[in-house]
Formats: sequence, C-alpha cells, structure tokens
Amino acid sequence: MTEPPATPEPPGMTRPAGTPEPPTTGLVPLEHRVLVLWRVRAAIVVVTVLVPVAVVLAVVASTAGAIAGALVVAGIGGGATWWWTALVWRSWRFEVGTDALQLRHGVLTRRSSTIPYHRVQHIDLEAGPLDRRFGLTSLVLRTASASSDSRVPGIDADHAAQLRQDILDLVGTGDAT
Amino acid sequence: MTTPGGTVTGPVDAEPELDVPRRTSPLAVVFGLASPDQLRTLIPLAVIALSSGEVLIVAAAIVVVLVVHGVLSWLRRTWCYADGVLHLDEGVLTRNQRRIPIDRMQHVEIERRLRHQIFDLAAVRVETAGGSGAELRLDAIPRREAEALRARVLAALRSEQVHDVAGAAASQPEVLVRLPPGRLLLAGVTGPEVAAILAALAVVFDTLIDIGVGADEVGSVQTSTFGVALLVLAAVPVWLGSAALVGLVRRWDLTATIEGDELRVSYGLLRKAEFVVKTQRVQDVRISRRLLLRPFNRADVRVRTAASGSGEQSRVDIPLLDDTEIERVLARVLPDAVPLPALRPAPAAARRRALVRGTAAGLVLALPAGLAGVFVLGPVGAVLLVAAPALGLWFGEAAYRGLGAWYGPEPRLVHSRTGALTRNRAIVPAGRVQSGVVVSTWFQRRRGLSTVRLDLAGGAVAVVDRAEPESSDLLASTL
Repeated sequence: MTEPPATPEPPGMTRPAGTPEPPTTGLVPLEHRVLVLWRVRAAIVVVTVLVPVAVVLAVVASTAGAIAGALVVAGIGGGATWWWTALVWRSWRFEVGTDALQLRHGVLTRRSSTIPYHRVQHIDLEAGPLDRRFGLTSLVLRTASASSDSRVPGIDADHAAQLRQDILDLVGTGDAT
Repeated sequence: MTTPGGTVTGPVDAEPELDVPRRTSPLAVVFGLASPDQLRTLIPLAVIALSSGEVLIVAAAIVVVLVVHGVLSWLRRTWCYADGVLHLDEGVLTRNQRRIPIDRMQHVEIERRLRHQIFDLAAVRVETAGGSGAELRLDAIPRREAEALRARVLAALRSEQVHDVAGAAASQPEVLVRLPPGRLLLAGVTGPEVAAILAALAVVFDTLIDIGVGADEVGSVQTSTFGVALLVLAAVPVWLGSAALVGLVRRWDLTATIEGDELRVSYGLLRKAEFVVKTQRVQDVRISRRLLLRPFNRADVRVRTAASGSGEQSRVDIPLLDDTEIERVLARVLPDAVPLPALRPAPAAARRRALVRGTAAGLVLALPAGLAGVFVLGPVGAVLLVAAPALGLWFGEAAYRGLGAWYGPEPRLVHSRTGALTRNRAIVPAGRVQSGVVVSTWFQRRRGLSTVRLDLAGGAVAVVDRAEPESSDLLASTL
C-alpha cells in the first residue's frame, strides 16, 4: 500500500549488507518432511483414539465379526487420513516476497492470503516436540487482526530463523495499526 | 489539561491530581459483589452448597471468601496516570502491573449506571488495540477523577498530532445528531429489546394461563381458544409498549457530537454512557438497513474501533438515521466515504448460487417438518412442503440483491454490502486492512466466484461472491 508494487526493493527498506535475499522466489511448495510429520501426527491421534476402542470391543463383544469390523473401519479411516493429508499438503504454496507473505492453500475451500510486512506486529516461530524431531518450525506473522490467516505450517528450523530476520528487516517502522 | 472545553464537566473547583497511585472507591467492593460476573461464579458454588447437607454453613463460607477476596483485591488495586502512561497495579495472589502508553489507546469510555449516579461515581474503560484482555477497566472511581483522566488522555492524544493544528484549533463542539424521543421509542420497538421483552412476556403469559386454569373467576376465559387469543391480543400492546419504553430509557437523549477529531456519543437515562473515539482510530463504519425500516429509509450506523473483544466495548450504535444524517456523520468520521457511491451488484453467477442455497436451506428445514405434517395434518402439511422451498427461493433472491461492493484507488475505501433481511454495508478505509484472503469454496469455484475477507484489528469484513479477476484485484489494490 505504501510501496509501489512494481519496484522489488522499495526505497527506505534497504537491508543491511551481508543479509541474503528473501530466500523464496515465487510460490514454493512445502517440504516433503511436512507431509511425513502430518501423517505421523495423524497416526498418533488415530492410535490413541482407536486402540482403547479396539480394546473395549475385544473385551465386550469378543466376536470375530465385531473385531474384523473395527479393523475395517480403522483401515478405511487410516487410508482416508493418509490420502487427505497428501491433498492438503499438495495444495500448499507460499512465497516470502519482498513486501508481503503470500499463502495459497486449501482443498475444498481454497484460500489465497496476503499479509503485508508493514502490518506485522510480531513474528512467532512455533515448534512442538514432534516438529523439532523433524527439524521443522511454523512461522506465524501476527498482525493487529486476530483473524489473519498467516501461518506457514512447516519450514526448516534454521531456514525459519533466517526468514524471520529477513521479514523483520522488511517490516520497517510505524505502529502498523 | 490544555483544553477544558474538551469535557462535559460539572463545576470544577480543583483539578484532581492523577499522578499519585490511588485506590478506586471502596464502594467498588460492594458493586463487585453484586456484578453479573460474580453471580456467574456463584452458580456452581451454589450448586455445591445445595448438594451438600450443610447449606447454611457452606453458603456462609462462600460469602466470607467472596467478601475477603473483594476487600483484598480492592486494597491491592491502585491506579494512576503519569507522563502519558496509565498504570494499574492489581492482584491478590498473582500480582499484575499494567502500563498502557497513551498512543496505544483506542478510545475512552465513561459509564455511569444508576449506582454510580447515586454516589457521584463513574466507571472508566480504556480500550487498546489487540487480541484479548487488552482493556483496562476502573469500576468505581469518583466522577471528577474519571473526567479528569479522560480529559488528560484526550489532551495527550491531541498534542500527539501536532501537525493537526488546524483541526485542534477549530475544536468547537458540533452536534451531528440528537435523536428525538419519538425516534427512541421506535428504536425500542424495532431494536433488540423486542425479542428480550417477548421472552420475558412469554414467561409471564405462561404463568398467567397456569393461574387461570386453577381459578374459577377467570375460568370461562382461559379454557376457550378465543380467550387465549384475546389474552395474546391484549399482550401485544403491553409488549410493544414496554419495548418502546426500554428503548427510550436505554438511549435517552442519544447525542452524537464531533469536536475537532473526537466523535462523542452519549446516551442513557439510568445507565449513562459516553463513548469517545478519535476519528483516526475508527476501523470501519457499518450501515444496517433492517427489512422493517427500509420503507421508512432509516438505517443504523455503527462505528467500530480496534478495541479488543467482539461485544459492545468496541463499537457504538447510532440508530434510525435518515440519509442526510448518515452523510453528516460519515462526513466527519470517514470523510472520503461521502457521497456514498452506488454499489456494483454481484455477478449473475452469484444469483444462481444464492437461489440454490436458499432453496436447499428451505428444503432441509422443511422436509422433516413437512413430511411429518403430511401424515399428521394432511393437505396443510403438503402446502408447507411446497411453501418452504418457495420461501427459500425468495430468501435467496433477497440475499443476492443484498450483495454489493465498491472499491477504488480514489478514495481508498472498500464498501461491502451483505444480508437478505438486514442489509449491512461496511465501509472500510483501505489503510485499516491488516491482511486479506481470497476464499473460494468448492461450490463457489464451480461458478467462478470467490469471497474476499479483509482482516481488521478487532474484526473482519467480507466482500462476498465476486467474479475471480475482481476479487484478486480488490485485495491487491487494498493492501
């Protein structure tokens, strides 16, 4: 809004020498690790929910038919989750541009978000225990609006810190509200 | 305090000093005990008390704990305003020190409920931008301190904009709108009070009938359906009359004033509220045209700030304005929005989507009821089954006609209108948009439509069902 969109490097926003260019050029997909992480996470949820159910079934209705039915349901559920995470993962594209973060994602409902850097209040890097195992981090740009859709769900942890610094250098001054 | 004219103060003998930490009024303890929040926490405790055998002992213990906690937290709570920072220290076990710099404040509101008016007190609420809990509330402080605090905050905000000298110099208060009592009565009849009073009345009505069944004096009336109908008919004027009265009392003397760049809206008879916002802090303005009021060409104007919370803290409503009044308010709050541009209708594909949605919703709602009706009511049920989709179709058409949008580089504003029964036109300055997203569901994509959601501090505005190149262009030109 304040920068002319055509110029790649707006005046007054020069980054100090030595810092690299914004590392993504154009829309890039998420790394394959992210898909693996999502599948592991889904598997954990499925197991923690299904195992007690299976145990209860085995104890209460210990007929072979009931157990087989439970296995089939679990198989269908697992397969659907496997397929769906792939769809979600494949739908993701993001770009850390020179003046805004661009996100494209969604399978049934497609979202195409733009978060201008000069609106950023602060930047979060979030990584749970599982994320850290995979060496991944979520990058979240926080604006003054609670409803901003501004989370990149999985970036290489070292790369994420670099990206955050790059964005912070581009945020500029002003209170952004 | 540079401009004493900035506040509606009574006779001021000596300006209260605000830079020394002070407590709120001791009455805050009493007010706090009787507050709805407190009563809400009491409900589970009351259940415990009732379920245990020793009701009295448990109840007494609860009361003692609440009183002790109230007194302790009152003792711990001190506030002051010094060097452009509002301080509030509070907390019994967890100590909390809050500091709000003046340039982060969105608006200041003074509220004087009846209990405040009796003791010459006031409640002050200071709103800041941001997520949750970013507000500061002083429940009961002397009225003069409250007014001095507000005056100082507003004076500091004014001096912050030094370049705006012309505006500050010409800060002669100008009344934009003052609603006459007749319109306040109408506001009550058409406003949210109607539903609330209907619910209350239903309870009364129910008990009346119950009593009537028992008593023989009214006996002949209540048993016949004619009698019940008569009762209902008699209840209607009571219902509308009390709604009108509540509207009158709640919004008594509703006045919108502009002074320099401060919009001030004051209203209320028992609960006097005064909402003050710097016009630079306005996030968006919403003009709502309700179905009932469209023939009279009246609309409600809602001014929103970035304050936290979705409720009444972050907005003020000025009901039932006519077109010239709306333009007069807009001219001062969002000058670029006047004259209001004509909105571009949504594309034809959006009409098909709205019709399909309306009919589908009508069918989903009507099918179970209608099928049951066919078996129970026969032909009447069949009529229901046919009428519901027709109603849905009409609703869909109304929803489509409600859609409209305008955006432009000059002025940099976005107008978006939605709604089938109540048409809401949101006017958003592009400079207020924090981020944006173009969303398309699978159904929308099939028709080449998408919705643009503009994220604001303290809310979001959607521009619904635009054709694809327009959506992306709108977002690109807004951010």
